[in-house]
Amino acid sequence: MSGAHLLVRVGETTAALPAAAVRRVVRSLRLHPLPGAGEGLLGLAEFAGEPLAVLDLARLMGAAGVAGASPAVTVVTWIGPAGDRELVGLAVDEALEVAELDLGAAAAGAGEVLVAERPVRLVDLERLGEEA
Amino acid sequence: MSPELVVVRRAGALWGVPAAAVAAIERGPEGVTVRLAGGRELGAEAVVGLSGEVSVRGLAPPVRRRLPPAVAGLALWNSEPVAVLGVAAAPAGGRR
Repeated sequence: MSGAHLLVRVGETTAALPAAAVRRVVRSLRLHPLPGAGEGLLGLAEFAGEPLAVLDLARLMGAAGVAGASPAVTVVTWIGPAGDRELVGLAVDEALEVAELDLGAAAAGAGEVLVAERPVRLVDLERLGEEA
Repeated sequence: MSPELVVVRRAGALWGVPAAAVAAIERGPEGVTVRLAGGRELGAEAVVGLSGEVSVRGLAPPVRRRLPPAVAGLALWNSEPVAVLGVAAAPAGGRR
């Protein structure tokens, strides 16, 4: 079983987002910080005429944070469980490539696969940010 | 949900209060106080506008978990994102 994924860099970590859930990759969204927001929510932005909450993917994954207040790249994607999905922005350092990942290997490797000999963490967009 | 919103600037961000829930707006030395039906009130630096009917987006679970509990959804007004308050849970008083 395989699937197309967008590989992104967050700090020292390479993460894989299911490509089917990704709507767009954009640079330099203007962020509006929201006082009182919890860790991991960088702020609100406007995207394609809609409001968009922008989350720090590194923090949601427990990886090192994105450098700087404004993320270099925002991946606009659907997250949440089926039936309760919403469009959000995920701040990352860099979008790398689209790759076909062996999901069977990811299941065996606790959500991690090797791509060109580097470890890649598979992001579960249905459960992202639930634990924090 | 397509309410009209009283849009205020509070602690540097835009917040929307459903206009139907606003009983009064009072100007004071430190800004404005939006009084809501039911007795609650919201302090803000300024009222910046009144929106027409706007579409309010729901909140994905990880976003909802990280927003102040009073926020019920998100909207866009004049190309700026607005945190829309649920009236029942609007924060009381204060300007932060």
